[in-house]
Amino acid sequence: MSKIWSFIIIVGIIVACFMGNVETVIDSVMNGSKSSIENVINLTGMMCFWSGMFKILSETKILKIFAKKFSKILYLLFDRKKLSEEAVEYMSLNITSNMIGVGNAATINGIKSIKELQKINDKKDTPNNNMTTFIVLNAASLQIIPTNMIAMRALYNSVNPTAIVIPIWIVTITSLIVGLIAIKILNKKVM
Amino acid sequence: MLNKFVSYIVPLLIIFIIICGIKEKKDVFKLFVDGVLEGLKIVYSIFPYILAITIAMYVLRDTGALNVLLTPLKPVLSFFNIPDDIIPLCIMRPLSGGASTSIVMDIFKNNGPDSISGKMASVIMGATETTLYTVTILLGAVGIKKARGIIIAGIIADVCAMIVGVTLVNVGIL
Repeated sequence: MSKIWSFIIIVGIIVACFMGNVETVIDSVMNGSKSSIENVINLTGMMCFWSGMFKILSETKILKIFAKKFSKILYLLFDRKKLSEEAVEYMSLNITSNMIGVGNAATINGIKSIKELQKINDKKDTPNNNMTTFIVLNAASLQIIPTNMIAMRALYNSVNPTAIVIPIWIVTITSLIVGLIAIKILNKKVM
Repeated sequence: MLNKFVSYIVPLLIIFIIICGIKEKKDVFKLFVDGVLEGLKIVYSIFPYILAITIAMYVLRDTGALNVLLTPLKPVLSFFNIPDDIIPLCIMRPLSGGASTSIVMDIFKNNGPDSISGKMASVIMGATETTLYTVTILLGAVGIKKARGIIIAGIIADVCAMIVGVTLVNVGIL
């Protein structure tokens, strides 16, 4: 990140010097900082609203009820021999919170899951196949209702902020399947 | 019809959450307010990233450097009808959530959320995760440095999401 950021700024300024429009540098720094403040102010209210809503949700038993129903599907994706009961519980909680969009709960349960999986991992310095699959599942998005995206579109006066929901489902599902196939193949190749 | 249904999702979700809370006799208002404070802390902690990236993006674009860097790619981009604005988003998306949020907001501000690039940005942003961040947090939690195929698979999934997202918008499904 550090390299990319420095690269962008340095290349920008060098190009400006060569093209003879050095004045634009200070203008763009000024406009960029102004715009970032405006954008953040626009975003803050909605982000806080959803954070509040999901706080309520994470204190109810709903997540746990969903997670229980979900745990059966997990056995299809993962190697049974390398799963403990605790791992399955945390993993299904992680996946359900990811799907609903409760980011905090998803992260906490994700970390708990990976720790449980590590306990039954034979080689402690290398993630086993269940761990790699689980991380890819987290890295490919699972979110069903993209609340933040809908909110951002509404803020910038979209005619139909929710129009993106179905396309997002199509994209998420395809990329999730592709990601899972990729990791299944790579699990065999990369040890 | 389907779109009408989808527009009910968010209001129904709000009602659902509140009813769940009340049914379990939780202090719904207190929880909501606590959550708002947590949200505010998140915004506070990502603001430096948003500022840093927005400035970098403005410098890159306004000085003409983005144009120079994208010149070799121009024929490919125009062949597949990919607008220039979403290229920075595609590069930043797996690396940083704050950075990609600020790029999306800027596309919305300049072109509107219903423009071609606005729609593409919405789908790409909504259908992917900050891959490298997720991998770092999860592997870091157990102190493992070897990632085996995880990063490659994650990036393949992201690239796939970008291709499908751009295609859906170009064929007019969105």
